[in-house]
Amino acid sequence: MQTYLWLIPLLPLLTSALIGLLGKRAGKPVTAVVAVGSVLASFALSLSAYSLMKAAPGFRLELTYFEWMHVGSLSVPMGLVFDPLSCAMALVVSGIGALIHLYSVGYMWKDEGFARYFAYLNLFVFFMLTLVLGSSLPLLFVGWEGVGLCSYLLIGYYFETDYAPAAGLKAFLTNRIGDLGMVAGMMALFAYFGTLTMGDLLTKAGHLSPEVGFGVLTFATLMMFIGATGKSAQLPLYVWLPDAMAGPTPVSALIHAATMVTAGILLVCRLAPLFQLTPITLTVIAWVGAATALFAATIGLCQRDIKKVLAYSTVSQLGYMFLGLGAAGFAAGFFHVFTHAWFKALLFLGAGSVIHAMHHEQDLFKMGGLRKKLPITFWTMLIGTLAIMGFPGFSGFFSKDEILYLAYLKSPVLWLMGVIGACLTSFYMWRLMALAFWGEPRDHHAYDHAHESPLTMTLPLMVLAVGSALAGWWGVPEAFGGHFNVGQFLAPSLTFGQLHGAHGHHEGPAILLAAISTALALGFGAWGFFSYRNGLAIGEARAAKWPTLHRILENKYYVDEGMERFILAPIRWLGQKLWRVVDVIVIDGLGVNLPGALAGLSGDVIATTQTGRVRNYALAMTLGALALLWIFLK
Amino acid sequence: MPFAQSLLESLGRDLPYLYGPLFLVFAATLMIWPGDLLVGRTNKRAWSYVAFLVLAAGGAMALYAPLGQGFSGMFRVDGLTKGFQFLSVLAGLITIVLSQPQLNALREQTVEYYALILFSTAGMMLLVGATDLVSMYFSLELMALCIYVLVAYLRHQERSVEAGMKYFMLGAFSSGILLYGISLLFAATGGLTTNLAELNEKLALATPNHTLLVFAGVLMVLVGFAFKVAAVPFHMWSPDAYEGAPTPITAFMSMAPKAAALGAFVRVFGTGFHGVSGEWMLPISFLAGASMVLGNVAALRQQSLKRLLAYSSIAHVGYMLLGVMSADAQAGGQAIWLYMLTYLLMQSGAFAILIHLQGKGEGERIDDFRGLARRRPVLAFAMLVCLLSLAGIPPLVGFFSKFYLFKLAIEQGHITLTVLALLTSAVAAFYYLNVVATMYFKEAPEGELKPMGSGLALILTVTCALILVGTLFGPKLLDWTAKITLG
Repeated sequence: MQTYLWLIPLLPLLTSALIGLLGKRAGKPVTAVVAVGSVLASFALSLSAYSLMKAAPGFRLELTYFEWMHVGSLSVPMGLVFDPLSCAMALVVSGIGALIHLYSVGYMWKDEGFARYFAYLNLFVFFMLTLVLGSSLPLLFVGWEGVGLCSYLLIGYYFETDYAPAAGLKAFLTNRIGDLGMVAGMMALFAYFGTLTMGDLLTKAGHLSPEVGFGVLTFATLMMFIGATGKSAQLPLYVWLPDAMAGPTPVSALIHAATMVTAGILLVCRLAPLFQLTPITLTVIAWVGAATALFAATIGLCQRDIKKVLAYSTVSQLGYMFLGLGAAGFAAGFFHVFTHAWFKALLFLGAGSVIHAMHHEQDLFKMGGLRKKLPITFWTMLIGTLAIMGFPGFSGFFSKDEILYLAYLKSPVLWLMGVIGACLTSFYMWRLMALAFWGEPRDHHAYDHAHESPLTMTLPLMVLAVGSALAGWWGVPEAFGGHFNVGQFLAPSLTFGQLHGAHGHHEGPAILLAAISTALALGFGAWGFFSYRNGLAIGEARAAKWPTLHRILENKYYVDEGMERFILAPIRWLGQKLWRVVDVIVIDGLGVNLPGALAGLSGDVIATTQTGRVRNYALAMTLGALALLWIFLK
Repeated sequence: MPFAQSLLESLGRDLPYLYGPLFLVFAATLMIWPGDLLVGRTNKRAWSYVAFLVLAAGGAMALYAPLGQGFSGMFRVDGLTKGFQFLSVLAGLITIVLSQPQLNALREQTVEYYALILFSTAGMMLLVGATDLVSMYFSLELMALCIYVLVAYLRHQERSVEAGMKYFMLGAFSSGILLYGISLLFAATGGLTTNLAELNEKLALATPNHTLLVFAGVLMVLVGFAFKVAAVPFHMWSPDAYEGAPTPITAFMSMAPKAAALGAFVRVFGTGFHGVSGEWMLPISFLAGASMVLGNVAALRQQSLKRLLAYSSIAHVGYMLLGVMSADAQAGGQAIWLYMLTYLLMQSGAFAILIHLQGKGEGERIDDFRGLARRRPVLAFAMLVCLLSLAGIPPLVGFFSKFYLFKLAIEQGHITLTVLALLTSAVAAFYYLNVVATMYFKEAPEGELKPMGSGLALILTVTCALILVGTLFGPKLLDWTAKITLG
């Protein structure tokens, strides 16, 4: 009866193929309706999957359609799993995906490659849902690689420019490093457990006690985490995400903020019972997450490109999620995925609306005073900013607070790093808002032509704004008198029926910590706002005061330049030499051309025996038979 | 009349096994007379539709034939029989569709052409079910005689007639050897039986006393089969015949008779000569090895795609002989069947494109494919799929069929030969990819290409779709094959 649920991922795939093949002929309106409709349908089906899952025993519905491959003892079923985690994520992907699809209709309307864009976007939704719902690690990996592919295609969407294809390539290659870790982790898990099916894997993990020291499990989970750092842009593999902003802005919102980049967090949550067993890995995750959160936030302070600010902000927020996971707060980490999906999608789409209005101007220093020109964009982005800075009552407040609290329980240093990161977040977000919407317009020509975006674009903004404001109330932490419903909801997925649950024991000065961090964030936000409300003067004065620091931050710690100098250049040099010596002489010469020439020569010899005369052929047959006889008699 | 009554009874019992081939023979006869006489000089093209339907009906009858053994153990219907009958019929159906462009262009549509295809297909259907050396021989001749004529069908073209003549003479020569081998075996067993199952027991008994006689007999039967499947060094007819024959008949010859002869090959050697497999294992491994090496190496230097496919089919036979070497009619038959099925799909796809580019039967050079990717991207992609699959490049379906064959060979301990097979597959990849490179990286010549006819397009679409779908289910294919051929 529930078999129709396979339509959830397959509908977007089907429409992707249809749009790709026929989209140009069908025209933009049909393409738009089909694209948005299919994702909406997936959303509706996900809702029905959710209700079915609620009724299922143990809140777990595993559907296996057929055995995909069977090699040796490895058996990979083609199946979907519906549990609280996957259902929640599927709803986020298809729900926010549908909104962003709708927004894209307006944003991309005048673009030549309208059909190509939606074909890629729907393909992405298919792969993302496969990643979320796949019932085994190999299937998850198919989705994992698939979203990577779509990300690459969409980053390089404006392929006639120089930087977009290069950025796509960078994303693809960086992710390869992570994927290597992911594959190594899968192999280690298979060697250890003999299965890669989620259900079996986690059931078997449930019988184990936490690993002491560095064993196979720690290795496997660490490798998995390396995979996660690639996809979710953590130190040191974060470098691709800021460049990924070369793609169309709705793509930045959907793929590089709300959904795909959270795949790493999703992976850790999926395997939460396994990660529970490896304290070393969890500690590593926590520190990498905290460091990323802080590091990226500092870069965000000095960026001029509105999308770059948001990109570093995404890296930073992803760091918070990992910090939560590392503090064994899997539910808290996922909760931040959930709230972040709302407000970051909103902020990106808002930025897109601004860029759209300013005729593809992305430089904050050339904006200003847009508050009156773009009222809807302004108000909705304001809500998004309040959410991300953790203003009490807005969604980011609850999720970030829970993470910081858990981080404090693990180590006060982690908490401090998180709080500083939050202050900086608040600062750069208010700087962004002040530069874009307040003050005098700094580019009068663009300002005069600026106009509010069409309804297809503002409607998603408004819906997302409501979500950004309210999403946090799903998981009001216990410290504020709530029940942290998210945790209870996700518990079946995260603990998988185990005793050592994901929910830590709560003690410590929760309210006090929250008050400190919130007060600081508000203060920094105000500082950011008032520094930039009246233009660039104060900021420039500050930059002149600390020129070195400013230059380092503006140039993102020179990470790209350093990589170019110390990693890429030597590799290129080595490659050049290897190509000259090994490839040209050894492989091409001795390995390929020589045997090729020999084979060609013998081909010519054989061809001469093909004389065309029947008597020669008959003779050859006779000789052949005699040769066989001789073989036998010998 | 008790004799007549028992005859009728046994006929009533046994005939259902043969409904398929018999129907083809009767229908083909009726098509020539009085069918063609009544239709007269009107459009002969209609016969292609009739023949297609007849062949499809005959194939369906064979598929639904009861399982069992009849005619005093001369003919047997089991899963393997049906499997190989299906292949022959499929190849025949494809050939009829592939024939249309050329026959129309040359104005050579006749009813005899289709009748010959039906007759030879009937011969193949009998051949793969034959469980007796005598019935096997008769079916083989029914199949072969029709094909000799088909090769020489374009009687106004010198090379077609010459090819038919050569093929016929050498075929007669090999038939003589085959028959002589059968008679030697008949003598070695004391003239008691030609039935395969009984022969197996009798040969085992006769071997100690008449080793040379048994071996010479087996060897001559081997030569006869090696000729039919064109294994080196009994292959020399095939490049000439393939090149001279009308292109659709070349496609037919590389698929249908090959499938049937291999089916009979594995049955005769796996059932009848199973007990004396020690005697023929070494000679056949030489045939296999020589076919792989020579077929692939000779294909390297071919400028004509038709000849390239001819030589490569020699190499493919070399691989399939690995299945015969299993000396096991069931396991070997399954692996060969799967290989042949996939080969048939890829080969007919490639031939569809070749025929399309060929037009009136001229121009089959690889050079004609220059820049096809620019002129006809979809066509070039279809060709790419077929060629890569022929080369056995994973994950395409051609890889899986090779994989199962090689796996079987390794399980049987033929390590050296399997290594040789792998090495020669690499050579094969070179000349297949050479065509791909020509399509994708060379400048296209001037001039427009005419659009593809619907028949060819249908064949191409279906084969490519099946190759891609088969690719998805690659790991499942052998299980399915086992289910099908176990009947």
